[in-house]
Amino acid sequence: MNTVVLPYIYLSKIPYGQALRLQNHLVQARFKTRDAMKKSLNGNEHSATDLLILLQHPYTYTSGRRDKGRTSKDEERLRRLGADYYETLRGGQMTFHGPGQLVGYPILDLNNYELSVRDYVAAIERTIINTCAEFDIDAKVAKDTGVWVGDEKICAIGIQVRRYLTMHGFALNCNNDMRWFEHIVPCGLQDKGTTSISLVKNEEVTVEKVVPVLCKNFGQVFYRTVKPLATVRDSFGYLIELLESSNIVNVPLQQED
Amino acid sequence: MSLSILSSRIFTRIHGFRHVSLRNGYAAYSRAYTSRKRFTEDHEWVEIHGNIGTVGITDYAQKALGDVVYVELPKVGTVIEKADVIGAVESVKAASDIYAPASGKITKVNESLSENPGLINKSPENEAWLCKINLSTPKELDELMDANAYDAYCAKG
Repeated sequence: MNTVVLPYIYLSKIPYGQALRLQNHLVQARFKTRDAMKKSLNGNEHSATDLLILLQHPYTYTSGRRDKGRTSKDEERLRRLGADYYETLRGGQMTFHGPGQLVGYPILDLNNYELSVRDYVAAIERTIINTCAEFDIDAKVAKDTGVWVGDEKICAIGIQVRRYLTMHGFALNCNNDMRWFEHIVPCGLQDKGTTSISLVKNEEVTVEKVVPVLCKNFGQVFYRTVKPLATVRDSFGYLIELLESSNIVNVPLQQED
Repeated sequence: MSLSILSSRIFTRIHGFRHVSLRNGYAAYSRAYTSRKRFTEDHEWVEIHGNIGTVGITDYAQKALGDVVYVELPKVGTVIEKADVIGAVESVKAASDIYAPASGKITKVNESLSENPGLINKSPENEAWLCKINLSTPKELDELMDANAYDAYCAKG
């Protein structure tokens, strides 16, 4: 087991906008720390720690960077379904988030992993494939980015990288209502479908059941031991302070059994 | 731009190669302009002709990104400060921000990249320039790396 700990938090339901502000808050704080370290001021390793954010969103559609400013018609249509809508700066195209889907936003400095952007995306794909394998699902990568079971996408990927810091991430369908995908062309791919762990398994597999499996496999691929932030709070005081000062979310700092 | 290369040792050798023995006279060309081309830690290059800085992303950067599918360019006329986000390069579902290497005003953008984003992979440091900046503070460029320093920076991984 790797001795380097990567803490994670899991938020069972958080609106997209709040999660986005949280990510920006963390990334901005790390820019500041990095600048301070360059000037040999206060910065130290502990104040620049990576975090894996896991969560579920309420019904939300988001578009990718290349469609920025050109989706007002989609927005109107999709909002009428009762969903939130956001134009984002991540890679990829239109996608859907909703309850029953495990969303992961790794806030990582790629320098810590010696990963190029291309390799980082591949590492995320590998993490998801290994996670699916533990549920006896034979998932694969294909020509199009993301993770597939046959011709159906089980996990969408869309990332933004700013000065080596990653945000946005992946969305793994666990037991979400797949009908919401019918209103869009996911990731701009006309002929492809979507599926979930529960559909493939033909049994109910919840996000909560997938989280520990995902964390274990994320750790194996990224050479880290992934632990709940609440269980390692003594080592990550700065991170906890930063999260609490964000006033964006109530971070579950007490580990639930 | 944000990248470091997983197999940096192998890659460095390839990268260093460029400056040693590229055929067809490109090495000589590149050396003649070495003093006028500068590089950022975020893997952008800027080539200076008088008051105009031509900006792009480096060969190292395009390799680390993989196949580029979309390029977001700044608007002509935009006044920018050094380190402002001036666009993005999207590859394999990852959008990587591009930063201004110097302050000034955007005077021209490379429209051909909208039609042909893959040009970034083919000719990152030549045909696939991103934009031209009318430099307001040319002195800022002194803080950037020259080709030798940038090679060393990339080799460090």
